[in-house]
Amino acid sequence: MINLAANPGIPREEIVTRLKTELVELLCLESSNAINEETRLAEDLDIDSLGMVDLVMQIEDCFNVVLPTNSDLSTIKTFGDVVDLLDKLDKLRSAEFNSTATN
Amino acid sequence: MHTKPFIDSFPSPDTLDKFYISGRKMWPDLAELKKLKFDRSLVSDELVQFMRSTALNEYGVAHYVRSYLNSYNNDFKLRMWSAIWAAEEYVHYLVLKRMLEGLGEPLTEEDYAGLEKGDFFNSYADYFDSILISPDIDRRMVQLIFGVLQEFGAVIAYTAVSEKCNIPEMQKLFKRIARDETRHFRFNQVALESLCENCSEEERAMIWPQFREIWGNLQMPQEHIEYFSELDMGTDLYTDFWSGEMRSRMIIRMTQYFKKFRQPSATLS
Repeated sequence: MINLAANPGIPREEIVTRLKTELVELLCLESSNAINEETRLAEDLDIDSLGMVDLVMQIEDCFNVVLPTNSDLSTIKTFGDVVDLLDKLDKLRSAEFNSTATN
Repeated sequence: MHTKPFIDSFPSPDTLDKFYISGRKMWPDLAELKKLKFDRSLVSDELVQFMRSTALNEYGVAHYVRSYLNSYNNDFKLRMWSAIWAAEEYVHYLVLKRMLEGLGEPLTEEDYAGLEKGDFFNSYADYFDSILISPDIDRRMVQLIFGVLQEFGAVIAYTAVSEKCNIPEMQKLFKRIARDETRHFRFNQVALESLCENCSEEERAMIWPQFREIWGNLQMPQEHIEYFSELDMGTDLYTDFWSGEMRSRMIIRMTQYFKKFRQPSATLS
């Protein structure tokens, strides 16, 4: 597990690699070779609203984060968008960590 | 043959009492709503259509409660909750009806007749059977999982509509109904968790896949009454006002809630 809650500041590449591994498992793909930042969740990976439930669960479990309920998943269209979301959550967590350390 | 002993959802009526009392406090001004008058030109046709559909849907509670009672069968307290829930949904119908009258768009006798004649029980029973992930699953659990989704859907629907309404008094009423639906949503959660306190690990393990099954094929009550589709008042209308954020809230909140049942009971928080 990549623990964004306890160890924020994860390089983007590491998030990409881990997220690809999770998607391979979740979607029973043979490999992650075809997944890149432009890969579309609905059209290319066949992720529907039920798939979104599984994706949210997998992301939260794998990265030890809780997605804010005001997140707008409708703006998340591609694999890169999911990485952006995690990257953003990681940076927020990092800032909180640094602020706590400074205090 | 070994028969699993029946265990009530709640050992005492305390939880029912608590929810009932909080519900009684919600609408002290119900009689006053008869005097409301609103400027129709400030409200879109789409919103009026939503209100008509939803008022009839809330009035349709007499259809829906029959199915709830069927699922709750021997569980006295859940049957009692069904009666309380039905009465509270009827209050929502009254509020919506008064708002429609205040707009000069009253429901007609024809509206009521079409709804009352509609069949729901058999259609819903078929749907319910089709979504069971196992013949062994406790039907109360399935109904409660469905209830969590249905009531949270109502919270989102009324919240979304309140944000699209230009009349502050109506906005407040939509928000108050949403708050009431939040109580219903919460009751379904509390009852499900109470059932879980006495269920086996195998039964608990069925909750997550059962949630996925319902979510993947979610049919709201009005889809089981032909009359709604005849009037173009189906679930699409119900969800038309949902923004991307509202839809996401439903997915994220439901996932976050139900995934905890995948954990062993000792770690259930």
